[in-house]
Amino acid sequence: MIEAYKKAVIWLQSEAGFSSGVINRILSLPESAVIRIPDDPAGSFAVVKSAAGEKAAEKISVAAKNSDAFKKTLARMEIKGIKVVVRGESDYPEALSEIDNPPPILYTVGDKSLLKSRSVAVVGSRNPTIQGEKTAYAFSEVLAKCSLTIVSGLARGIDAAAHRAALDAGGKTIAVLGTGVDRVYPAENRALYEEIAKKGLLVSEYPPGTEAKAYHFPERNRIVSGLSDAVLVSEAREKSGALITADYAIKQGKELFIVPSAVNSECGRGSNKLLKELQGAMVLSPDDVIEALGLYRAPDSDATDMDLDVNEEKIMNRLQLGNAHFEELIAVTGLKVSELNALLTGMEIKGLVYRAENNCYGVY
Amino acid sequence: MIATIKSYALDGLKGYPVDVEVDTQKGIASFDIVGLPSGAVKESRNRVRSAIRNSFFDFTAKRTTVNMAPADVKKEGSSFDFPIAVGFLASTEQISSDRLSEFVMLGELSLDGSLRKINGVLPILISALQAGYRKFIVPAENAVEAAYVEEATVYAVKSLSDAAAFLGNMLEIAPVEHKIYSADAARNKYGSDLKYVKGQAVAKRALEIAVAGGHNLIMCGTAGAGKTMLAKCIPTIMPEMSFEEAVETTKIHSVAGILDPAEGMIKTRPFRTPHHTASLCSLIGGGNKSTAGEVSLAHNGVLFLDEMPEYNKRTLETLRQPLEDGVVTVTRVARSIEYPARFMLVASMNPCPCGNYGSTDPNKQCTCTYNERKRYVGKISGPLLDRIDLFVTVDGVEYDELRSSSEEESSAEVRKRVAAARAIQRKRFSADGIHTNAEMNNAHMEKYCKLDPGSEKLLAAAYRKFGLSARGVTRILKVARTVADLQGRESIAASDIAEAIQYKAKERLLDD
Repeated sequence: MIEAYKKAVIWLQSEAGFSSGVINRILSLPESAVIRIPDDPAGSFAVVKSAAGEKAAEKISVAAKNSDAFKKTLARMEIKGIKVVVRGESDYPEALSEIDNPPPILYTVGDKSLLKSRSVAVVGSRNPTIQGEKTAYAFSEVLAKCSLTIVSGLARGIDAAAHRAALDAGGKTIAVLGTGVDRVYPAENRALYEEIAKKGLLVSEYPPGTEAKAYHFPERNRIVSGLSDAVLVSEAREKSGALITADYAIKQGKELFIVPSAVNSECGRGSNKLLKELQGAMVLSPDDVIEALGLYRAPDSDATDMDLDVNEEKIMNRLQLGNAHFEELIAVTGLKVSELNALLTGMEIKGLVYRAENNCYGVY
Repeated sequence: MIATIKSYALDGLKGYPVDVEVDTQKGIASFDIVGLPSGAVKESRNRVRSAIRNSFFDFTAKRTTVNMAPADVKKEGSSFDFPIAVGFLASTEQISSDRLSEFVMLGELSLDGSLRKINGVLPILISALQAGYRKFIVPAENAVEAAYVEEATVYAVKSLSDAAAFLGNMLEIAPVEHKIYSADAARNKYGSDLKYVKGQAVAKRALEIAVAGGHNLIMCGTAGAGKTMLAKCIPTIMPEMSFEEAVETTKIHSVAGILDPAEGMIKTRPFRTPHHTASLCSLIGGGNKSTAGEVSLAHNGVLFLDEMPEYNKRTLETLRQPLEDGVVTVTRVARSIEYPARFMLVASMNPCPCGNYGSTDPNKQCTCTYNERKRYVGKISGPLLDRIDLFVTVDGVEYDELRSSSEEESSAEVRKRVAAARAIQRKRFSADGIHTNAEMNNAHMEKYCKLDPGSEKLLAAAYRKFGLSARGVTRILKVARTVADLQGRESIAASDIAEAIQYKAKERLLDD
């Protein structure tokens, strides 16, 4: 029974070409009525009209003559191992069905159970500063270690850093795509895409094979936020898609966290402006997020027993205050250039510091 | 009667002998030059006529034929004026032909009979010596250049009449005194010195390592960060040129005609800065005369490409072969010439078209899109990046209060360390046929870049952490070898590897 229902929903989307709004209205009909639509479009005219209006009903009768798109979608799903979760099914996350205009159908590749896990969305600029990227990575890494699933959009920049961090930390991650779930966009994230398909979950509301369209991405953002318990924004430019996600988070009643950026930062202007309005959303460390979500942090086993030599400690103490330039670190430690170079490489490898722009260094 | 004068011509950097035969007969007045003369050689008849008359010799119209043997090779340049004129005088018996066969003669004539400087005296002399010629008559202006060739007996003459008197034993001319080569202290063309560059500790150290090991270097930084200023300091820390190197470089400059006649020898390492509109031929060499390009003029020195992504992409790609082989072969229909081109490539670039990407200055925020940046840095291809060992970010950040107390190191001090490191390399590679760490191949690296377990471990950790490629590791090892040489260490220590990693070249210029 449920298979037939799924097929009917896929049919409504692929074949009749309905938007999620229309499908949602049709899905308010009894299950048996929905299942009957693809088999008997003409006979369903009246029911569909009652649920979704006359236009939709007419569209269904036209669609019946040509059943190519529907078959194509099913074939693609078969070949690529794509599963679907439709609204009303037990696998469909409850939180998502409560948002405005929930996606009636989710195409998935990977571990479907993640849809119901506790999760945090990490979003931000596609063109971030190194600092912003590191921040997103560091937050995501800690949150993933606390068994939170990291949700993001597989875009370049902050999104990619968030996914990467979750995978590196051995945690779980969901990528919500603005294309068909079998497509990689942007292409440079192919490796990440493939790793998420194996270890995490790829989700899209668009039928397989759908190409990237500009309007897909803002639409997709409602799912990013809808799937998550909280949304974390790290560096969003003005008019950034991440701000749209933040907006959805507020509308959907999710927790919203914003990491502040430097006052003159172009990359963080949008998120900083939002932060000015929503001062309670400010988080300064992953612990703030964990605390707000009522979790506790798993003790970090490898960081506690690290021995620092005297110069490393000087550097760490300085960097805790903020990023510092190489020359400043020379002044702090009194080392020669060659010695400091060697020391900093060691600290980078140990994961204590990272290299930011312009020969500056920072701590995670 | 027929007079035969020995002269020399150049094919690339190699000389070949040319016999200039002059025959004068009674008959209808004419002056023909045969034996594949080019334009400049054909014109020499006019210079020769005026020079002879203005030197108060007789140029009564006769049937004159000048043949240049071998007849099947194209003769170029103006250095046959003088031998033709001497040949004419001997043929018409205005001077004695007894001593003519002793000398190889070269020179261009001015209309008043004086001799002008010619290009390529040094390579000609060296080739001719190998062919067994010992005595030369050259223009006085070329005397200094010729003086560095030890076994040659060179007579420098000012004019045709002096030469005639000398050949007729009426004038005594002492052979040019042999000069002993001594390298110049680094010439300071721009008045630069590292001590005037405030801060920039990271970049200065990168320059030191690059020059010490002959490593190619790329400097990336926002507009106005000081990349060009740093590059101009490179000549001030370059090690001295050995005599052999100086001869190699001087040959190329001499043939190209850019040698200073008063100096006679290139005594400091060349620092070539072709503009980014440079054409492919000007950079690599070629053109209808198959002349040497900037890569060859920079032989044993530095080729500096300011704003590298602004260069034509195809032009940049042609650098790959000389960077790999140290020579360029300029092939044209008529001939193919090999020019040495072993240079150190130093490039500077902005991180993006607007030049502000990554700037911390709020007034200089980058407005380029990701794709614009990608296109911009994409002009430097992966294979080209593969040949660049060191990458350094140059920033304009100033920390005045921190620095006011400290004295900046001068170029002379850095140069001392560079020279010491180069000396170690010279000794190490004496049997290997290479000069610097940058030139090491796999076999050399196996021999000279052995790692202790600690260094191995560090390199393995870095390999994982930074996602290095095999080529990336090779470059790090080469640079680490240079860092160890700068410290005077026999074997590479872990700290040397660690420092090399700080300057690790990028696999891609855009990290995502």
